[in-house]
Amino acid sequence: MKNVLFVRTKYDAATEYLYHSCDELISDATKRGFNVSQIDGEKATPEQIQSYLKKTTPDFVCLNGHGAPEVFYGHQNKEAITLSSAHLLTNTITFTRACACAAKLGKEAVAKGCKAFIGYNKPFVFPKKNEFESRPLKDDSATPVFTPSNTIVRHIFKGTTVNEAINASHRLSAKEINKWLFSTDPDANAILPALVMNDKALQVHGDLEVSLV
Amino acid sequence: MTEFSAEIKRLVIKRLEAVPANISFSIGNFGTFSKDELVEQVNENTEVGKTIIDMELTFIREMPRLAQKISAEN
Repeated sequence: MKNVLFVRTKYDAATEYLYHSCDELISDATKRGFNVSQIDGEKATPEQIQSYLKKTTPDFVCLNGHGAPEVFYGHQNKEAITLSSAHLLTNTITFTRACACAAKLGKEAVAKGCKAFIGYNKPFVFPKKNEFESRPLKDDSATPVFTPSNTIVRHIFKGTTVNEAINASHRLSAKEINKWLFSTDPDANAILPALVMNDKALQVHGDLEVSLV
Repeated sequence: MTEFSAEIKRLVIKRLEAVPANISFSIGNFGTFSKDELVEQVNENTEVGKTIIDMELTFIREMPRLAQKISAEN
């Protein structure tokens, strides 16, 4: 049975959205019979994350939170995975929805044995409507930006290669961009730039032909 | 990060003004910003301002490629 780890921080408005965007992915992984582990919210400390990765080598890791080129941050912006602990992702396929982690952390993880590291090499930007702050999944301005990101994980769970998962994300982004370019909805002025920027910033290091299943 | 001209900033601010008032942007570690706050950040040359300029310019630069792709599909 494949081991899947979700790390979801939740301590500000941005991480609240990232956290809930994984709900459907956790449900999908569970339905597919993967052995799902979660390190959520306050538990997503550097100690907990690193301890889990040392004891159990997951086949797939999904990191959600804040990031920078050289670090993925755990709860309250504590450095959880850095260049010096990138080896903890050895033998995993890792997807990181956090700012800029693909730029340096992803490269280092792959150099240390991570099979494939998918992430963003710039800030992951998304629009949000103030009235939906407590119900992120209902926010129709954020959803079009999160969907192409979630589809990467969904495809990996289906057993596609990393390359196919990335291409599926680009196709879905193109479909959303096409839809919003022709829309007269003023929300398009917020959605389109974020969609295009995140799509351009999507990056993968490592083996493009690897798959989870 | 790149310095942007006054004309570029003016263009980005115009684009931000077209965003509905109830929408804010989450920009990674920097936090969440209303469009008015983003206009200030652009004017003050902050890292957030530069990130939002980069986002808008990326979109504008991609427009010809996107348009070509759409016309090829139709």
